[in-house]
Amino acid sequence: MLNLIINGEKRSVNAQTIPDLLQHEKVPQAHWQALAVACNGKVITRDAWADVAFKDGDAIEIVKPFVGG
Amino acid sequence: MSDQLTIAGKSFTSRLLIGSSMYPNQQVMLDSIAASGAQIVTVAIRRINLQGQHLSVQSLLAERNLTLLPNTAGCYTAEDAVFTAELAREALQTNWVKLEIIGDRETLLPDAVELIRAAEILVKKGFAVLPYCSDDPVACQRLVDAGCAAVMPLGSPIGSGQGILNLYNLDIIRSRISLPIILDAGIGTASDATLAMEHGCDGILLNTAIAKSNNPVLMASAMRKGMEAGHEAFLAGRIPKKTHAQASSPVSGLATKAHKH
Repeated sequence: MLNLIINGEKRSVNAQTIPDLLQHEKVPQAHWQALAVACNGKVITRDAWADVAFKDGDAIEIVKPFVGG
Repeated sequence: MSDQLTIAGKSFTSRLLIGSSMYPNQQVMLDSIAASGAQIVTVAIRRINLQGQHLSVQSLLAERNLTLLPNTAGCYTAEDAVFTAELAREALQTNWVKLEIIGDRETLLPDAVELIRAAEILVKKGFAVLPYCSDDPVACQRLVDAGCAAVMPLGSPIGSGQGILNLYNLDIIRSRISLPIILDAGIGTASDATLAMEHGCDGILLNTAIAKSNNPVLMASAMRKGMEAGHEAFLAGRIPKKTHAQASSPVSGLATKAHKH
């Protein structure tokens, strides 16, 4: 288990990488293509999602497009 | 077709950029976008809800062949705006960004200093930057100097519907800046859109005036027509205003009634 800050919320999760985390959070795979993920303030490009190994205390941001003006 | 809106090398037949927020429901949003004729739709970038509701507006809009323009709404610093733009680029695979940095929570007016700083950073990172800015000719020129793809001065504060408060500034901006000028924020009704286009704006970005009207689809249609009328009037060239009347019928050749003596 890792202690992560996910979208500002402290969580203990059993996930080592971004794909692990998205599965753990039950985000449907069909929606992954419109997501962006950052780890500790650095945007992780899609092709590197599986390569980034989380460490205890990492702050993860997961965002997507919403309605906006 | 020559009369198109061209931004960062991409051309559009519609000069209206429309927001996707605040409609009564999703169907009204889609119908309003269609009625407006807009080809560019703005979206925000926000955290996903970890408790579910993963439905995305992105696929809905993308399958209608609309160009999505992500914004940095909600940002108060250049750093936050650059971070949001980078997330948007990754999420939407676009280097376009509506750069919005607010300097005051009550008026939602732009922070010119942070805006120019963020624009410089984003241009260096390869973004096509469309900054929402004040109607200040100097700030607009600084944004042009920073390498922005367009300037988007406000007509009046976001969502206020007050129309264009400073036509004088807008005219100065138009006379000095050859980049596309998109009037962003403050439009209240179709005549405001007409006025902006009559004064030479290349396009208009609006959301609230359509989404919060009593009939968004009808207002979207009105905005499209108002903009088209204003743009055609601008191209045609209005007559100069005069202080006194000038007869439109010939002044000579008037028949005179004969009088019996």
